[in-house]
Amino acid sequence: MILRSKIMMACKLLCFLLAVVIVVHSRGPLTRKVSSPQPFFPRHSLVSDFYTGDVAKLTERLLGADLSLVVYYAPWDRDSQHLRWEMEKAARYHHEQIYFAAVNCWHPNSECKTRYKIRTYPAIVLHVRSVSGTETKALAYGGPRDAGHIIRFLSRALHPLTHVASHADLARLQMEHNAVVLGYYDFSTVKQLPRGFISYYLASLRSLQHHKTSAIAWGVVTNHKVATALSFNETRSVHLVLWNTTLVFTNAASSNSEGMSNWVNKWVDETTIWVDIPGTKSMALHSVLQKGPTLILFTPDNPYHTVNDPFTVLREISLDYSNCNQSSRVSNLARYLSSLRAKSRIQLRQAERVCRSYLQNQLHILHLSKQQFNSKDETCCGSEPSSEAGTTTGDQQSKVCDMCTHPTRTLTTPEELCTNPISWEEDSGLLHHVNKLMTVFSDSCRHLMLQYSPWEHYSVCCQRNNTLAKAKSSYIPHTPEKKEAFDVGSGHPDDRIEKLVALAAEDQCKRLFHGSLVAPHSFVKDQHPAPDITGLGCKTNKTLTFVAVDSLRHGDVAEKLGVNLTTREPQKTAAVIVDVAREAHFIMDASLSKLTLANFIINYTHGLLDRILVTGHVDTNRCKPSQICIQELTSENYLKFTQEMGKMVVVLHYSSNCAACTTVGHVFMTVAHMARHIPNITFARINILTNTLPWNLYFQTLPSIIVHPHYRKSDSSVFDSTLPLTPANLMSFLVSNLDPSHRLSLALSTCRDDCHEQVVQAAAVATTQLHHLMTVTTTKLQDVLHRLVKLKETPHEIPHWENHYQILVHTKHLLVRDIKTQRVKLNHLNQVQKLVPSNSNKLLIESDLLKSLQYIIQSKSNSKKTLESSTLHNEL
Amino acid sequence: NKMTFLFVYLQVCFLMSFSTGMTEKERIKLREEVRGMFYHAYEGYIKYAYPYDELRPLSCDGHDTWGSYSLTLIDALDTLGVMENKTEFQRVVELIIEKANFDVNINVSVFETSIRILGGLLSGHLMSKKMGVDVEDGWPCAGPLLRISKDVADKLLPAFDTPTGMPYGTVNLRDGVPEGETPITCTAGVGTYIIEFGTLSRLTGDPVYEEVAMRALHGIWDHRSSINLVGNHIDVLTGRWAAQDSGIGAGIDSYFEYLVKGAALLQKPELMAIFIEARTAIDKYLHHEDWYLWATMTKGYVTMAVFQSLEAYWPGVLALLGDINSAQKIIFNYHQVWKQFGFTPEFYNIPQAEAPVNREGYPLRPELIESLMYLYQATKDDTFLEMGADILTSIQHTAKTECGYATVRRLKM
Repeated sequence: MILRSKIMMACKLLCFLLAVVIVVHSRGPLTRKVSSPQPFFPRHSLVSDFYTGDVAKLTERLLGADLSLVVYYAPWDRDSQHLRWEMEKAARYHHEQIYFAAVNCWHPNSECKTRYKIRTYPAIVLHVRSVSGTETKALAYGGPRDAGHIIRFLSRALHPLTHVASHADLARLQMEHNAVVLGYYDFSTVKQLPRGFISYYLASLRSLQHHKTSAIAWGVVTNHKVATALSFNETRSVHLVLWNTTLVFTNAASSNSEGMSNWVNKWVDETTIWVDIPGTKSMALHSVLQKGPTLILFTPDNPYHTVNDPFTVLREISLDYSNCNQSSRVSNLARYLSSLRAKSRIQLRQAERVCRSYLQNQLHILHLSKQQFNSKDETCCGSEPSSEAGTTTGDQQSKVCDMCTHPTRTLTTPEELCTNPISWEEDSGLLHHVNKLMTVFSDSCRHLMLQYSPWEHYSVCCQRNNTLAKAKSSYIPHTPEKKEAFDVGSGHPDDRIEKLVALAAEDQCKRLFHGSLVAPHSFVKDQHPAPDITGLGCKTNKTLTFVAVDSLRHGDVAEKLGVNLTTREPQKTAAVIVDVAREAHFIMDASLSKLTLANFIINYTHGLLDRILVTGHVDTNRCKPSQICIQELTSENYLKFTQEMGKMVVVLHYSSNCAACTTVGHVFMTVAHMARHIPNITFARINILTNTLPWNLYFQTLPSIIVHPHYRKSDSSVFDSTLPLTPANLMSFLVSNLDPSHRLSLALSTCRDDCHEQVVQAAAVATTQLHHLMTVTTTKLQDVLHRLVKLKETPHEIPHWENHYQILVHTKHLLVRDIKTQRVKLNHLNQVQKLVPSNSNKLLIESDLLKSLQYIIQSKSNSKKTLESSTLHNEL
Repeated sequence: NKMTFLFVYLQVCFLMSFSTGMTEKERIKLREEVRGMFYHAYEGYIKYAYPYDELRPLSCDGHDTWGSYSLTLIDALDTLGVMENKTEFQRVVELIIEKANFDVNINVSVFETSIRILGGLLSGHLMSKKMGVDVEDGWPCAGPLLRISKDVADKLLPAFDTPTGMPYGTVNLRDGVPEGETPITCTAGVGTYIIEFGTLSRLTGDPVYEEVAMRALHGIWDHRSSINLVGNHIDVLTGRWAAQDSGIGAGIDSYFEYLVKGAALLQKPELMAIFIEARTAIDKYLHHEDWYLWATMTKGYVTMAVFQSLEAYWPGVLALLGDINSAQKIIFNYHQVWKQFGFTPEFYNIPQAEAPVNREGYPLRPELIESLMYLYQATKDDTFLEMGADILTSIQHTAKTECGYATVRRLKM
């Protein structure tokens, strides 16, 4: 090791010289110590910022709250910087229930840095205080780092358990979740918490880490009667209610939270799941696709919404599809799901009514903002603290920078701008209105105008910066006017219950509002009953796996599969079947409904679908006839373009990501230029990265050049990839694929003046030679004929007479053939001499020449004697 | 044996993560930030360090490093072209033509002079027409910058005069190879000439440069081990390996890079054939879970499970080759290292996930960024732009000084 490192140091080249030294100074390298840590969050932030990395202080605070969300950040990290905003938004939403903190876990020598090793910044950790209150349990959050998803995670962490008071409660949970874990804990007999309940609670929190999209519900049964009805034997036992069966965890009483959640993870069986694709290295999608053909439903997963209609349709379908033994339990569940979907639409309308005044208030703020949004030059002006707030010292509030943005997006219709404010007085369509209004603003404006911008002292629009701030400060959280939807029965009025109800109601309104800012609710239109696909999954060897992917965050996956999400109905929703083993995928054309999805699956099972060929953007640049240009093809027009009769098409198959393809362009262009005189020849290229072609046009190596000839389209041939791709090689490849007429015209078209004379001369010489040859041949023929006559006169006297005779007859035939060939050649040479003017001043009319050439070729083929034009070429 | 491009169906669609996208405005903002960074560093050099080789960003003065030939000025010329700053480009071209003097008695690194000086002059020469410089008749086969390049290359040629054809590491610009010069050169120092020398030969019509570069490249390959690995340092007189550690990083890196880029630029399938053979061995002996380790060149036994900052060029080379799948998997690992430290340390101990002491600096290396650029161009996947933005953010945060950007010495204290 020592020797090697010595040698390495000796190497004066790439090797490590720069590693230690900033500047090679005569006094040694000049270095600078890292500056002292600076606050990362603004001073009045709802997130406590432990920017010196003081873990002890943080822990103290963590023990003061039941739940805390802590970000371990590094100030240089871009994601950490972005997360600040999202944390603020989340804190605004949940700060009354959860303590929010951030700690600098990078600063050298800080306690946090020495104590924890963080592999990827930022780390978001939920701390749950233990019952004893002396320690916290840390649960890492690995989901998307935007406020919506963090809020969803926190909301679930606040209510991880659901009380199951009756069989109907269980049914409801089953409808809303893929699987339900049920625990029976008796709270009546003991004064303390029942044993094992804490483990059960922690296990439910743990499952939030694994199942980010509410796939599993955790229910608690407390009533003995209900427990018996649900066939619980004893308290502290745990059941896992799956779609087709119920499992019992026998070790529940003695298990800790880890054992419990491991058991659930091991046995959970879902007919369809959300696949989350994190921003880091992951095989999430890959591992699903490797299992076999997969139906992927792209649909928005709005973190503020509790119901997802398209996903429920997928669940219904997947339940029926996997219901192999016609179980009534499964088919009932599927039926309930469709009734649930009908109900959720009504519930949404109800909720909209209940939240009317809340939404109106929010809309009012939005409208105020809109008035100040200068739509003429589409400038949105606002002030916000510098994004480097974390690195500046002292008073952040005083350091406020003006920010003006010039959105590039253009407004679609002027009507959108002039929406009548009166229309929001109406009950329905409020959410729609929010959405419509939001489209008016640019992204950054939305950011600024929404009331949950984290910075206290911000104002929108430079010129009149008070209005919104006023509107904001005058905003008082109010209680919704209607409570009937949340009536908890006619019990005695209790202050705390009323408060809870009010809070729940406001929470619902907040969700509605924030959700509509992210994406509208999408509902599936079901008009016709769907065909029965019960148990189809077991009747085919192409069994599908069902997954859903959030199209809001992973729309580009769909795009790469050739799905245009913007034109879909319901919005951003599309179904695709991907079969990796057969290297094919299929897109459902119809808008999503139970009927269309079922038909799609049936058609796939019966092999009635066509493989989708992904096609790139159509090149709008048309070639001018006078230019040499390479046509850009797509998979859509490839076949039509190349199979046109009478047209020869040379196609360069390339890929935008192959280095070797970038350096053959000039060779291809040179040949295109050289071949410009060949009639009916086109040069084109296709990027096979964005265009899928049928299998017969699939090449293992790129670049590949394929020639589709003029007439015999099945005789296409590919340039030999073992040859160097030079203009000469490519040209001779092209020529060898030309039919004779074009070959001749190519030969003559490259011919001018001097060349013409040479052609004429050569033709004259060749004619003379031919005449001479013909004379010789004719003499020979005469001789042979003569000998034949003689042989006939003296029959059978000479030994081997038979042989002699046959040889002579054969020779005669050969000679006759030679003479015929020579005549054709002679005729042809005469034509050439006629066509090529001997006088160079006389202009050659090319079209005439070509016509005559065509004529020659035809007559040649009529006589069934093809004269290789290459021989002529050689003669020339 | 043509350049092979692997195309796996739907490869881009299914493997890895996808970013949620980046708006046009964000892209422009980032682009302008990069432009700002360039001018901050460039103007710092012009103001404080010219005519020295490099800027000292903390003391804000200049000093000579690789030779005394205003290295940064020539090195930055093509970047001025990329930034489309025509006036400054023209000014610098004139300055170089006026001031360039390579007939001096200094010892220079053959490798550094080739990649920085020759590379800078040649790309400046080829860009000059686009940058509005009045080019003379016969351009691009004639021109003042091309003549200077030829002059520089001629001064490097004596280093290649060895029995094996592999060059010495150091040459005196006036007297050729200095007396007593060590014949040990690292592999990268032997095989990193074909792009500049090949270009020079094609432009001037003098085949000698391309020939010596090719001979050096073949020289390394001819001395490969029985399992097709190459070592770290070689004796250019005897062809005996002086350091037998094989890897893709320091000491070897640009040898592989130039095989692929040379094959593509100069249409040399033979170089691609060498690379493909070499890569097969690398994948067999060094490749573990999308990391590349170090091993003995004779047997392929792993010696160090270390990722080096310099290795980050590799996914870019694979992207050029068309193997996007592998390239993506690897770059996700490297980016994770970046996310852990805010930089890629010179060495990164893979099993311990730590940077060893004294190998934890970051001298502003461009390898990872270059690879991200190739991957983005190949896939147009915004994930790679996001990764680039991560790099941008931490360099701005930590390495920026009053007059330029400084090396980060230690990632932890």
